[in-house]
Amino acid sequence: MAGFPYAEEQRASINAAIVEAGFSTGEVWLHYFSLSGEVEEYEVEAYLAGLIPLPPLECDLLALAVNEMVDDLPPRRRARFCDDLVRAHTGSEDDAEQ
Amino acid sequence: MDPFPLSSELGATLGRIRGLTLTQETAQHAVDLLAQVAQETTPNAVGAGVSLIHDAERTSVGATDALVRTADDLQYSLGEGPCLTAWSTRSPVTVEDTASDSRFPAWNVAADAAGIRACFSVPLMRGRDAIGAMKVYSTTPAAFDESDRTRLRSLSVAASALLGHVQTTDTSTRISRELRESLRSRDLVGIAKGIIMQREGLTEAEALASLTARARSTGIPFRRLTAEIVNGHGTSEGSDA
Repeated sequence: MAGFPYAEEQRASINAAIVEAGFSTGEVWLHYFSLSGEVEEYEVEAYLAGLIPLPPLECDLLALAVNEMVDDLPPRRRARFCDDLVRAHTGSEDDAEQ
Repeated sequence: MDPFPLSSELGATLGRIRGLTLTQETAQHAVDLLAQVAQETTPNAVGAGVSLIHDAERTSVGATDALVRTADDLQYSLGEGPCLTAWSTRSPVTVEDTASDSRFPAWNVAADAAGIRACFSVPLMRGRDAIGAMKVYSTTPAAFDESDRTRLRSLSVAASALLGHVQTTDTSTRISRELRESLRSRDLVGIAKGIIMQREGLTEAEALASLTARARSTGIPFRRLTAEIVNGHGTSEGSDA
């Protein structure tokens, strides 16, 4: 595997996603491992710190693991629309009227 | 290829699980010692206690004397009190005088009757979870000043770091469950890879790349995707070209 030109950019994006979500390397590694990742936790940590490269397929698997964990985070609070509130306060259908 | 890939990693993980589970006696010893230290660092305290709490039940209690024990037991039998509140709100609670405090009516009356007038309790935190509470008691009202409180808060941080590792067998069952699930999931990926290799004449790496590409384009979690392939639902629909 001779140098994927954007390897560093990918590494930085994986690391940033982990840091931003507040995941520990341990939990990320466990999920990556469950997706058939072959690299040990120690090396994943070194990779994330920019110390060693990993094969592109392992990087993608790591990215997939992180993205699945991000998708599993509780969704942020959403704002409500006028008609949501009207519906919530009057009951859904015609027995509303209060 | 390593015939036993990651075996050392699994060994380390299992070792970590074992390291996490200290026996109940060790936990008891730790909370007893910490209660003693809490009292020694708080000159105005007549007694001190440390409780580990899980699901609003005490799992271990350390107390410097019978009075502390009584005051602590009362909280759990009455279902209210400064330590329970410190634990559930994750913030320190001060009772200046049990004779005038209005937050814990039943506990205050009972504690006052037992001779306790003041109490200060801090939660023990592991990350965002409260794992218990540390408290000091006095027989005189308003016995604890700001420096007592600051000292006990600092002590509670150190105590939490220690007791965080004591937390019962619960932690280890959770971790071993996670590990089992992860191995099962990894197994499914392996089987799915084999199916794809056979079905589409790919190498192992190509099969994995094809699977990840499929997960990305469909948005289906990898584990479900591979489980579906293994269970025969994942048809060979438009694999890679």
